[in-house]
Amino acid sequence: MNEILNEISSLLQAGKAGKCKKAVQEAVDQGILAQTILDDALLAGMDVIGAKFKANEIFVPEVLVSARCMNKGLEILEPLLLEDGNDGAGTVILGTVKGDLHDIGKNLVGIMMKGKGLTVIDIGVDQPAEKFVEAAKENNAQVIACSALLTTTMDYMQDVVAAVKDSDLSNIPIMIGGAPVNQEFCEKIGATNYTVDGAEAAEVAYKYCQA
Amino acid sequence: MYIVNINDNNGSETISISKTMRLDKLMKELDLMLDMPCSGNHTCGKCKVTVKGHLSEMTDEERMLLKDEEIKNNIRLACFAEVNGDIEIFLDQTEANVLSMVKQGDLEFTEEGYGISVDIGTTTVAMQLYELRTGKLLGEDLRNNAQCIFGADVISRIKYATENGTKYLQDSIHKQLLDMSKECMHKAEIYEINKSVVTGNTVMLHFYEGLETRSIAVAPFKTESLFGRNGDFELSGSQTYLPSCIGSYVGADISCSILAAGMQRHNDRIELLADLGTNGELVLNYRGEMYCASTAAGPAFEGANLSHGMRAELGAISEMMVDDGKVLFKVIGNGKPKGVCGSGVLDAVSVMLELGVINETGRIDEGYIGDGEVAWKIPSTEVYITQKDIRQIQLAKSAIFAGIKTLLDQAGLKEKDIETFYVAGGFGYHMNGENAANIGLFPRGLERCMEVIGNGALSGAIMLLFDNKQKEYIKEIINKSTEVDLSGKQVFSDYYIEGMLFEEDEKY
Repeated sequence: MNEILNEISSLLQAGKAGKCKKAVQEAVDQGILAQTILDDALLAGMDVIGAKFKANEIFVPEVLVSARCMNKGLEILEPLLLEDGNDGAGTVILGTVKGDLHDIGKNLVGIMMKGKGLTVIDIGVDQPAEKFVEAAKENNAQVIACSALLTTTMDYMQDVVAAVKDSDLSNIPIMIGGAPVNQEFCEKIGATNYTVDGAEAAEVAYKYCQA
Repeated sequence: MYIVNINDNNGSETISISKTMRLDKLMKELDLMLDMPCSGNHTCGKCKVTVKGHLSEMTDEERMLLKDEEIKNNIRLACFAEVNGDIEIFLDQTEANVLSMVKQGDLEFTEEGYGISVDIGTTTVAMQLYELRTGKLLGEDLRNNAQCIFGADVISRIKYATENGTKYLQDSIHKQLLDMSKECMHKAEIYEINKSVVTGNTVMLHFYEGLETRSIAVAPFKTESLFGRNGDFELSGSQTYLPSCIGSYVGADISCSILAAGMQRHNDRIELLADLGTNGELVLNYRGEMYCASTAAGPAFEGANLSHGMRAELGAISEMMVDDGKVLFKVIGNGKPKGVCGSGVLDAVSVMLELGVINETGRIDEGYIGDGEVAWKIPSTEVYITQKDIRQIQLAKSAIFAGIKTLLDQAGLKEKDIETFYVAGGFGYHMNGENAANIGLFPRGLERCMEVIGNGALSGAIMLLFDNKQKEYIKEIINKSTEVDLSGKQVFSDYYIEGMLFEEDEKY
């Protein structure tokens, strides 16, 4: 494989955001396709990080710093990917539910989804159920994804599920995630899917969009 | 009817129960301290109890959360085990016995009789008994907050209160304060208390007064009261005063810390105060305007949630350093090291960095294995620092770091503009400033002007106890203060991630 792509992947794994961004620019300047840089360097690096995270070899801090590298790289690649005619594999509405202001986990999920080529409409934190529905309609989205960090705010996800059921979007999949959320809770509130981390969430969202 | 035999360091006691019940319910009914960070959700594996006798079979789920050796030693998790016959419980009760230092600022002694001051911390409760005319300390007590059984942090306790009623949390803290005051009075041979001041974070004061907390946990974080009034309940027969809180997450403990540091008088200065506890509260005094914020650091620096973490009590490694390639450490009480307390953990991380045991991402070199996992064994001890511990510390320290950087950014200030950096809290009192800067607990530029003030919350409460005029200063503090919400701010998130590592990433 190309040397520069390997270097980007290692820089991403080491969490060196500045150097990683520079290397991505260098790869672009060398004439490597944006899609190739994304797949074989950034995502390849995140795959390693994701696998190590699952195996408990690394923990949240390293995932976050690597994701920041990915995001820096994406800043350069995104406009190029659009130019190359990759206008997205689908659209996801992503937000943190009402009452909750935490965005780090949500942003991580967003980065991983963008990496999969999905268009991510991030509606922000502290968002009421109607906002998720409206945004999904406006953007013709295929997936709604809700985040919550607190045991006191996760219950609001149920309101999002109810609002979606009441709307004419009744078939859109609702994905949920966040530290206190689990499969049991997902089933209890009638959401479509729960994933443990950003990488898995991106996989699942991608599948829903392709379905 | 089943017989329950309870053994502790002082002997044994026997009671009977009439029906089958879960072990944690039984222990709560018996007022036996039990650490339940996940409040009985079967996820944390912390509610370990040594128990023999007729109990339900261990499930795979429970087995997963225990080590083989623990299972062999009759340890069960209280949230799983059902008592269905006679049992015998063995308690290991080592209570905290080192009270954080208090300082008294400028004040006059306007009161007569005896008074009690209390700081209800999320993790620990500190109490002192004074002769009011002279300011002489007559007794003190420091204990783990009895509400720990309802969850380790304020959010899980609010969740518990919302689902089961605030009454449980209120009763628990009332009973604890009464026990502690009895203990202090007994030691001092005092039979009457004339007044008390009870300070603490906003949520702790809500529980103390029995107020609804549900809305504090969700944006926009509404409180029922910000206090600054007498309490509805007496403490050992005395009227209590509850100092004013600044906001939902910057409580009366911080108003008191500001008072103790005297920041309300420093209208021409630029100063920063950090109160390091389970929540890290920060105050930036920008020439008379005070910007206050709170960040969730978690209890790692109080020695909780770490594999060999413990409070700063007998047997805790409290200091560590490298000399000529050799690791040296200090143990409280000079006995056999049993664990490591907050200041020791901070030193340990700094030492691990210096020795290359961990790299700049916090990863422990794979060559270090202890207790069946990647961990560093502190030389000539049986105390380990595991990979998970390092991660807990990374999350805690970057929360403080990011909070400080964000407050400075918002005010358009640089580290060098800060004239004094006050550090409050029991952990802050013992921590090594240089090592704290080494691991990135705060920006390195602040170390030069660091001033340790000990338990600021309790110090301020004592000033209010002695001198009625101090209430005016609290009013002044409240007028000058604004609560800044950090979560949801992009710059905070960026600094938070940057602060996780052990070296500053190159600027981009």
